[in-house]
Amino acid sequence: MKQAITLRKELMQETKERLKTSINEETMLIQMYQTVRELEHTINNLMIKLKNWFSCYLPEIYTTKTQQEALDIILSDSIEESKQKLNLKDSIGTINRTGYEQTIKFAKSIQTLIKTKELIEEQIEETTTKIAPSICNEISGKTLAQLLTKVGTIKRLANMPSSAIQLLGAEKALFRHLQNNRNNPPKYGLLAGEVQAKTPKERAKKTKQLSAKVTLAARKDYYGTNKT
Amino acid sequence: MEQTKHKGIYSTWQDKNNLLLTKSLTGKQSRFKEDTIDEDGTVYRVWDPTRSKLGAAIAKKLRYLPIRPGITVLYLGAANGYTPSFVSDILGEKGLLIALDHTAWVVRDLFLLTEKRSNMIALLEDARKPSQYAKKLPKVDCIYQDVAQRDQTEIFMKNADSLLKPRGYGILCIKARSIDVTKNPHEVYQTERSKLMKKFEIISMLNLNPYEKDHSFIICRKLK
Ligand SMILES: C[S@@+](CC[C@H](N)C(=O)[O-])C[C@H]1O[C@@H](n2cnc3c(N)ncnc32)[C@H](O)[C@@H]1O
Repeated sequence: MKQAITLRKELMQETKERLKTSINEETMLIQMYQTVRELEHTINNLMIKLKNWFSCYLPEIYTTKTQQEALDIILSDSIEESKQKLNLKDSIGTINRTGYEQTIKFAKSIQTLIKTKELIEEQIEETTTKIAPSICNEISGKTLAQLLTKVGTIKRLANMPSSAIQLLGAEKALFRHLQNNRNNPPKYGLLAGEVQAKTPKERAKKTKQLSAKVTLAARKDYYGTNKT
Repeated sequence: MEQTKHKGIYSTWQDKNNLLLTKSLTGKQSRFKEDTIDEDGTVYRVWDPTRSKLGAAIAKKLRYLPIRPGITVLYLGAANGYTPSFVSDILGEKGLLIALDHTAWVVRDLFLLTEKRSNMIALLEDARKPSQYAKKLPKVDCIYQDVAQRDQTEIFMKNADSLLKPRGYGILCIKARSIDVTKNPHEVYQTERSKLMKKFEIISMLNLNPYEKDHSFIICRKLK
């Protein structure tokens, strides 16, 4: 029994050391990427709520085209200025209602979330360019981070065949195809978001070329000599 | 509380539900938001079969369970430790549970759980490479495998070769979809079964429906 106690102590100490050194840059990128996705989703939902609420004071807020435009108008110094920005002389809304101050507070919080999201995006670009400069010549840091959520590390990416990289993000379609041959096999996965194409065929071709480039770049970044 | 036919596992009725329980080694602490029931100063933890394949197998009236108080178990694919925590309860203070996973992310949770349970050890290792940890560990009475990998049976057998005592037991959760999504699950189970039969005697095979889709729960025993 005494033996088990010492064994446990030793092994737990070893695991602790390993855990400390196990967190790499890729782990951080994956966390940051997932947080950005979550923030995008949350910001969209909060903006819908904000516009609904603010429209009680100024229904014309619905005529804005982008989120940022709507936020800029809501966050004016006064409701008069908001109206001016919308080129309104008169509004069909009722401004003197309770809660106006609170909507502004709410809008400010959303603005802060957007800022935070942008800061994380900048950090993603910075980190990806640092650990994989060649890959970042081909695709955005954000897309690389997305690839990493699928495969885990640059090392694994460097050891994958180009055809597999091409299909990352299309796993569901691939399994569907493998299970019953009626469905066509997928031609492209998440890298397709990085290419400009008019037809699906063209998209497939361009994605294939891009995955070949990414594959080479990954090998260069991971196995290359001028690796930092 | 009623002792079930498996030593260390209890059951009780509550609102027409039959609950599975283990005696808690950690008092009323619940790391997984599981319910606890206090009876005459003994705290029991409620084991949810929809969250645990071993729990599901017991709820489905598994005939024989080789995990018993006092033995040593190696757990491959421990994840955040939900099932392992109940195994640790069953083994009790005199048993030993070596829980292993290769994802640093989950081993951090597992480690924090393990610190609170004196019969548990957490290891950050790849179950595909037993040669890297076999020397450090004692021989075990039972190996539990739930790694959900294509080569899960081979992983289990490799570990059994170097770490399982002669006539020791194996418990395998075979997930058909991780082995081959294109094949009929029954074909997959039969293939894995015949691989095992070279070195093991098959004691039981149980399908985990409706708790888990396309999973077979195999209990086997090393021939020598
Ligand atoms: C289905 S989960 C196990 C769930 C757990 N048994 C429970 O019921 O609470 C599979 C786990 O196996 C781990 N795993 C997969 N391959 C592994 C390997 N080669 N070595 C160690 N762990 C592995 C994964 O990290 C994952 O946490």
